Amino acid sequence: MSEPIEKQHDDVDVVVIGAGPNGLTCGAYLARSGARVVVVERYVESGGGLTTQELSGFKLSSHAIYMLLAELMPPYQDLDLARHGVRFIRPEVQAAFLFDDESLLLYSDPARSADSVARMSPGDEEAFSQLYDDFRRASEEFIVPATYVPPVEPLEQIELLEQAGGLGSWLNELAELTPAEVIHGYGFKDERVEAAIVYLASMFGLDPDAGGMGFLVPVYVHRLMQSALVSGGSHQLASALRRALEAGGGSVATTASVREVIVEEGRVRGVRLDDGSEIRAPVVVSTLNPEQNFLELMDPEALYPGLAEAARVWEWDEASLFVANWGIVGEAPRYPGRPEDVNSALTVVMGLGGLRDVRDHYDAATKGRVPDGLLGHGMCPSLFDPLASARHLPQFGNTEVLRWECLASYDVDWEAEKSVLAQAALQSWQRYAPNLADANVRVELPWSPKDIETHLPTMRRGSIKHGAYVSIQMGYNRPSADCSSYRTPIEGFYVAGASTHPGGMVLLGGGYNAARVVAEDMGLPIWWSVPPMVAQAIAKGYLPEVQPGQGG
Amino acid sequence: MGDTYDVIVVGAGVNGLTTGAYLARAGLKVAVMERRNECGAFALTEDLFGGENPTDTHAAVCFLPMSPVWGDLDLDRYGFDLLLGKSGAAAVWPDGKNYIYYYDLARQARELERLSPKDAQTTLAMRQKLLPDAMELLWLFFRPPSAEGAERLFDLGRYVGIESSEFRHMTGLELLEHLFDEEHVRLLWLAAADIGLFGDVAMEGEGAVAVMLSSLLATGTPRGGMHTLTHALVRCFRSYGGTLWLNAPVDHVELAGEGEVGGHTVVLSDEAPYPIHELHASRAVVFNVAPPVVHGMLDSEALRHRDPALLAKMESWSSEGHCAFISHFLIDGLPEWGSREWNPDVDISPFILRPYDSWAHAHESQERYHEDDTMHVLGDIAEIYNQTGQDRSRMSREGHCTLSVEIEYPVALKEYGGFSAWDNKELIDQVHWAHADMMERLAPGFRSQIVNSCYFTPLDNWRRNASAVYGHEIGGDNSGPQWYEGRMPPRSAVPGIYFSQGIWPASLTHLGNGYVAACAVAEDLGVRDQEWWRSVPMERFLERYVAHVRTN
Repeated sequence: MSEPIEKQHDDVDVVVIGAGPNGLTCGAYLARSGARVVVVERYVESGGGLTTQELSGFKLSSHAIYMLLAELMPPYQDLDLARHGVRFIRPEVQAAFLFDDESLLLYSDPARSADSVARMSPGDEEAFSQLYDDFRRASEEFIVPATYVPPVEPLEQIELLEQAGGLGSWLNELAELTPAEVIHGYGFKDERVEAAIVYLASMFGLDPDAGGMGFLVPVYVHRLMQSALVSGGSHQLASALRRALEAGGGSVATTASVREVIVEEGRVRGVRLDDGSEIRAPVVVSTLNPEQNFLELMDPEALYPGLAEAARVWEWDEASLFVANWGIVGEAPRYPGRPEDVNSALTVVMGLGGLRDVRDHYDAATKGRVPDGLLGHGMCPSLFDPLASARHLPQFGNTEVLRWECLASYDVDWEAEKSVLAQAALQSWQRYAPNLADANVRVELPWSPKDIETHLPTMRRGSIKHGAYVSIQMGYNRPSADCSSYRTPIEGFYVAGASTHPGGMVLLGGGYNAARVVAEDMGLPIWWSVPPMVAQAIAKGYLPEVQPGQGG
Repeated sequence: MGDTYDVIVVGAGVNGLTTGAYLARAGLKVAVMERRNECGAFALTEDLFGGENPTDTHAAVCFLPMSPVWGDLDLDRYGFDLLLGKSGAAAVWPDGKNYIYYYDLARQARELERLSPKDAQTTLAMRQKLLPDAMELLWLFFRPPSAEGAERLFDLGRYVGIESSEFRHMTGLELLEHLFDEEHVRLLWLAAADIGLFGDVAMEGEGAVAVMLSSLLATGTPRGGMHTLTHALVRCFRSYGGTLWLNAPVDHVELAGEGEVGGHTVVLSDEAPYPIHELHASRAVVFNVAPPVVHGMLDSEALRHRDPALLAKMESWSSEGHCAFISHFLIDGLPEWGSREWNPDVDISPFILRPYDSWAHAHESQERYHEDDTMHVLGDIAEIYNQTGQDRSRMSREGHCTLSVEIEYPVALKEYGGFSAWDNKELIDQVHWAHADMMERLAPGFRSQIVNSCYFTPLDNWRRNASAVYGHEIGGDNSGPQWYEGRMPPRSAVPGIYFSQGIWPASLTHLGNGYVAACAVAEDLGVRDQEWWRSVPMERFLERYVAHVRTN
């Protein structure tokens, strides 16, 4: 007999909202701890910003593509992601900056980068080497380890760093500076070198002139000289995380959009989906943004007015991104009259003259102006990853994937502008790589800030980091002092998305840190150990001995 | 051992997933290998024009209502929601007439009356005889071919008073001329038969069979796009413990030696990003890839000795019939069908056929189709998809929606220099805009509604799907020597080797070939007898339809 379908869900121990990188990570750890976990996802596919659209055999990673921390991310080891199909590709030539008549090349090997700096600006190689060494130490000894522990209360953190002295004191000084000031401090003679490094620091929307954000500069700059792609496209990382989650007995429910977090008597009881069905669970972990969490999915006004208030004043990213991908029949870009290594560089920055260009570009991206398509960076992922383009039909010509990216403002009529900008970008790219004029473009996929918001609704106004990186929204204040320990005042409700420490950029930190907190609160076994880099940072006194929240 | 499975399915199209899900649910340890980064190479929904207009890039009409799979796997539980309006399809003519293939047979009869009272009578009489046997006939579709089955197919003539000896020599066109007087009536049945499910209408015997069986067709619209079918199968498969390997191109399969205990070895290509490249299938390997691709994966010398008939079949396999060229148009508002005054329900029909303009045109085209391989734009029946009338979730806030036009063309394109001409921009642009002109004739004003457009040629489709040789979407030609008993067998003479493509029935979204392969494996492995494995064709559809009528 026929009966109307009633969606029924089994009760679980943990519902994770959002199958992006943090949600899948958090779910995978907890599932392996023995919790019954379901990750609910509004979209038909898991992955969130780890999206790879495969059009006509061209794998187009339309959003995230740079894996800054790659193998350094603890989940890579803990969840055995290699076994589940994650292979990071780290090109030797990391970046090429194409100036009018010269090129600056940055390699994963800093000595080679220094040589390139020396060729363009004799003498600046010393400043470069000093910068690289400082930034590497800052990243490895403190910033990366601090990514994988809950944020420390600011005064306590400053105190710890100060007591540790040396690198610690220097980091405290950095925190006061703007990104541009941090780099300027190295005294490069050639402004182009300085501009190139500021470009790296601000590539993902960090304001070069924002005070108080200098502490992020070392990690961005250092890791953009060690960055990696995921073989098969960024989405493969999500596929592997999902396999890890499922190997632990967890599951992902796609096309399951949460309408409400059910709160009864001050504690969480589960979620209600758009179709009216309920999943009951004593713990809900949300990877959504503060507006969604505290203004839309629940009504905390009566119980916790502070949460709603903090959500109301949340600031979105000032600058968003424009990405265009193309699948071509033709050859990879070649840059005549430039060093051979430019042809095999991962990131090729075009249209950069000096510091002023970086500032103008950021300015356009935050003030509603359409980017000119001149300044930005190109990439040919298929040069490094044979899986990126349809190589099974060599008889019909070589195929490659091209990708262009630049900062862009949300406040533009993107329906009208996005194809125009994609064309302009491809044309300006052709000025450096004339062979692209012969490419037969088979697919074109522009992704404007508007598309980011449409595809990834938690990235309001195209906020790739779920909220601006400004000092009042970082670390212990991300998303607010009430919730930055991943616990919230609502019993059983946790936050773990990019709007928590350490933020966005596919670091898996929010999901990883939240998993430990949730496991502690639920009394689940913590089967994973403290990463050696974190243990070392604690031993050096950069991070507190007992992590906040531990045993809580 | 972790990398030994009972069954390994090669190819995560919807039919491979179907086989995988049945066998996993039957308790076997199953892996499905996929070279793409996502499942469902032809059953997928993509954001070709930005996130608010999900577009079914390839398969856009869902034949699942005919299938036992819907009920057995209970796909509704995994996010699949098949919309049933008043009708699944319509036919339109430039003379202002149309025909709606209502689910309700009484309504269909009334529509036929308007075209020809006499032909309506003939149809009614045929249906009354055929319907009591409908289930038995549908089962012919979900079972491997047999001599008995062939007899039954050629005996279909008895429902219209034609002896089997005569019927087996009739083409579909001859049968339609014999049965019906009115041109539109002939054309609307020809269009339904010409979709290619049951055979080639212009061929003797199979053409007549195709016409008779086409009255059993039932289609629906997956809410949110065809990808929801793929994802429901993925979720179902995973929920029974199945493992998906994405970005995992299979290089070859090593057969176990004759008389050897133990299974076959599936070897991944070097570029697969997994540390392990050899997977063992202790009991079965199911190839859900086209016969020419299987041929490349197996050792021909071994086969020559162990299954010479199979080898001969694969060596002679033809995929050189006609292949789809699909144009996608983003349009402002819904199309204004010229025939809406005849019957306004054309507006809510998701699948619209443009049969030939006249019976003479049909004859001429069918002759050309078989005798000529140059390209005659609009030589064939057009399949037009516009699901937005039924599924409002596909319309953007700006009021844009996608309309797709699919027409089959000869693949070889000898006049234009061979198959690579499908990359010739000038030529393919011309085809694409001819599709727009055709739409303009059927829906005046269409061209001015176009906001954006793109298209996929047979070569694009082959790049998308390595198994779609020459862009062939159903695993190769489905007529003549490759029809019914001439298709690939579901099992090889080599124990443990099975096929779900190139077999009967042709691979489409009824999932019949995945089902047939699952039956073959399960019978051989002694796991066929399952309480849940009992659905019959059309069962879930009829339940849903009754419920649908009650509530509407």
